[in-house]
Parts: sequence; C-alpha cells; structure tokens
Amino acid sequence: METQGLTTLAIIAGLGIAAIGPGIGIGIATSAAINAVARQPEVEANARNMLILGIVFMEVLVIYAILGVLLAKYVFKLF
Amino acid sequence: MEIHVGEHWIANFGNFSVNMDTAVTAWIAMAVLVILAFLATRKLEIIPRKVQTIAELAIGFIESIVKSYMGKDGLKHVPFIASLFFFIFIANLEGQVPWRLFPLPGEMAAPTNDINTTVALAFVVSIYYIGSGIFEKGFGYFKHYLQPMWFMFPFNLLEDFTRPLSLSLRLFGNILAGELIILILIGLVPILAPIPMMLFELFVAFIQAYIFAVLATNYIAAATSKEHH
Repeated sequence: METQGLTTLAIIAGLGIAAIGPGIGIGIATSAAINAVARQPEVEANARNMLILGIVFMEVLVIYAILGVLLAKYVFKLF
Repeated sequence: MEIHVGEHWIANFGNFSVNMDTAVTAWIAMAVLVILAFLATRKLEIIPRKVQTIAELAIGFIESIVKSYMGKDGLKHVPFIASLFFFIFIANLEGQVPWRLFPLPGEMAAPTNDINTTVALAFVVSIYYIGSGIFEKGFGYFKHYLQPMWFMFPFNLLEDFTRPLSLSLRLFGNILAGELIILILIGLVPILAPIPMMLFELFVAFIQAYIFAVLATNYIAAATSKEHH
C-alpha cells in the first residue's frame, strides 16, 4: 500500500504533538516543586509525593495517545 | 521484527476462552504474595526480625497513605488497599522476569498488560467505594449525587463511570507501553541498550501500584467522609 509510509509518519508526528502538553506541564510542576523545597526544605517528602502524583496524571495523556494508536492498529485494524 | 500486541496464549473451555498467559502470571503473583505472607507471620515476635521487619515496614507504608487521607477511622480499609497495592506491584514486576529462559507453551508478560485484569481491579475498587459509602451513611450516600445542585446529577453519575475507566486504562497503558518500548529497544540494539529502560520499568511498577492505591484511598475517603459540601 502506498499510504503506509504516510500513516507511519502521521502517527509519529501525532505522538510528538501529544507529548508537547504534558512536557510543558511536567516542567511547570517540577519547577514549582523545586521552588517549594528551596523555600522550605522541611516539606521535601510531601512535595515529592505531590509531584509524583501530578506527573503521573500528566504522563497518562501521552499514554492515552499511544493506546489510541495501538487500538487503531491491532484491535480495529484501521491501517 | 514483527511485534504483536494483544495476542495471547488462549485456551478454550467449552464456550469460554481464557487468556492463559494472564491467568498463569496472576496465579504466580498470588502464590508469591501468599508465600511471603505465610513466611512473614509464621513466628511473630515482639521484637521483629528479618522478614517480619520488612513486612511491618510495607504495611506501615500503606497505613501512612490511608491515615493521610482518612485519619484513624480509615484503618479498617488498610487490608483492601494493601492487597491491591502488593498484588499490582508484584504483577507489574513480573513483566521484567526473563520468561523466555523457561520452556513455556506461550509468551508470558505482566498480567497487568492485559486489559481484562486492570478492568477487573478497577471494578473491584468502584464496587468497594460505593459499598463502603452505603455501609457508612446508609441511604444518605446517594444524596451526594444531587450536590451542590440538583442539575449536577448527570456529572456526578458520570464520575462513577470515568473513575474505573481512567484507573484501568492508566495501569494498562503504562505497563503495555513500557514493555513495548523495551521490545523496540531490543529490536534496535539487543545488547545492553534496554537495561536503563528495564531499570526504569522497575520504578514504574512501584509508581503505578502506588498511584492505584492512592486513588483507591482517595475515592473511598470521598465516599465515606462525614461532611459533604
């Protein structure tokens, strides 16, 4: 099929676009956590827990994108 | 290299087909948990030694999570949260076991990379939190659907459906994506290159189990809290 290569390129570009938002979000969250710990070093354990929780919620957005691609390819056989 | 996703070692019993790889690895996780629990509680002592110390530390970790959300009243939920956490943790770790070294009839992986397992776990959580809400507050539990205003009812009802959906897809997607990345790295450079990713997956195994336990605690705390606003 001649559209195969274009489809692959589109998937890779789409995953890259999906990674933009969570990347920015994780950057903001990490800088906020570093600021918090720099101001008050005694909240470090608490800040780390919250940071990990927040990062997981952001990271799952990219995972959803990967899941969508996998479902489209292996379950619904769209391409 | 061919990559297959969502293909299982399937056994048929009458009208039912069973994903044997998932079932066998889930049984292995349960067996590990039962043996560890037996070893840890065989000879209990006031001053704990070896296995008992580790087990007390692990349970203390879960207790600290539950206490931070529900206070001392929530300690009755610790057995449920702890079983969820340890089962998911052991199950995720099984993805890094080199199964191909053993002569097995099918390909093995972590049981949590099958969506059936994660959906079952998520439904257990949603049944448990609705059940404990009804147990705690009786019929008054259903009043929270109409808060803060009556027209919020559809959104509150929707929440009960999106919670298991996001719980199950998060765990499934993370484990599956991690194993796929290792597979792709093995396809590119078979020697040494996948090792950092494998080590990272050990961390992900813990984080995902922790997140699942924290979210389950959060839902139970929201369902059983006395003052709703």
